[in-house]
Amino acid sequence: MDFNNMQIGDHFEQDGKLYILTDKSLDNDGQLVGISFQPVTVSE
Amino acid sequence: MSDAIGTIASGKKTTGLQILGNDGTNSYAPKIDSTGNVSVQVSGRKATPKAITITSSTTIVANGGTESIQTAVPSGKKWTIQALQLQILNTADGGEVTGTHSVLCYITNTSGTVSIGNASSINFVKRIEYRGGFVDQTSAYLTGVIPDDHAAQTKLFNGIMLDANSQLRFDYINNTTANQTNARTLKLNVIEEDAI
Repeated sequence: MDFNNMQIGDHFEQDGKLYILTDKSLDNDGQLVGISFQPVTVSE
Repeated sequence: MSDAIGTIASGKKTTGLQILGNDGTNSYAPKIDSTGNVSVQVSGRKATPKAITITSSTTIVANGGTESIQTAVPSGKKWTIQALQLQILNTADGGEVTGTHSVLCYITNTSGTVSIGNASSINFVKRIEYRGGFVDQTSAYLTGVIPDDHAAQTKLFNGIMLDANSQLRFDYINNTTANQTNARTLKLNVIEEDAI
């Protein structure tokens, strides 16, 4: 999955679960090197 | 004179310098250009040491909030871990914070995940930290550390190879009675190479 074009707050699916992107970490060259995310609870 | 690889072969008819080849039998003349320089062909891949810092500061709510911190190795690159440091502070200083917070570590890839370790801190919640090659177990409240042997912990991350399809992931679970508002930090020293 390419997280480069995703913004914080965007939703994505991984391993069959839905998550919200909460942080992106870049190196000194501006290259994405890490992300953090939290699960999204879908209420029915 | 020795016939070892890299020496001038003996008993051969030569014109100028001859180098014995890898076959140990035939010798070859190096190519020398008009300026007297020897042409050399080098093969290999560029390897660059790189320091990675991944931080997260979004609040993780009390009583079950979770968060994942994951590497994002770029497509076409490969990282080999040389050193790693993970720091997750306690959820609050002082006060009547109870419960447990814990972290689980995985390698993720397209076919699933593989757990490689975990740690928990119970009542009077303490920080969870991996540094210097092992989990900081000076806190008597840190429990459930797998592996619990320092030698095994030291080997846990060193040499792990990551790429765009195989990332390192830490799942953090805040089952304490306080929100987790301290930043979580993952630092890596890696060798970055082009993936084949």
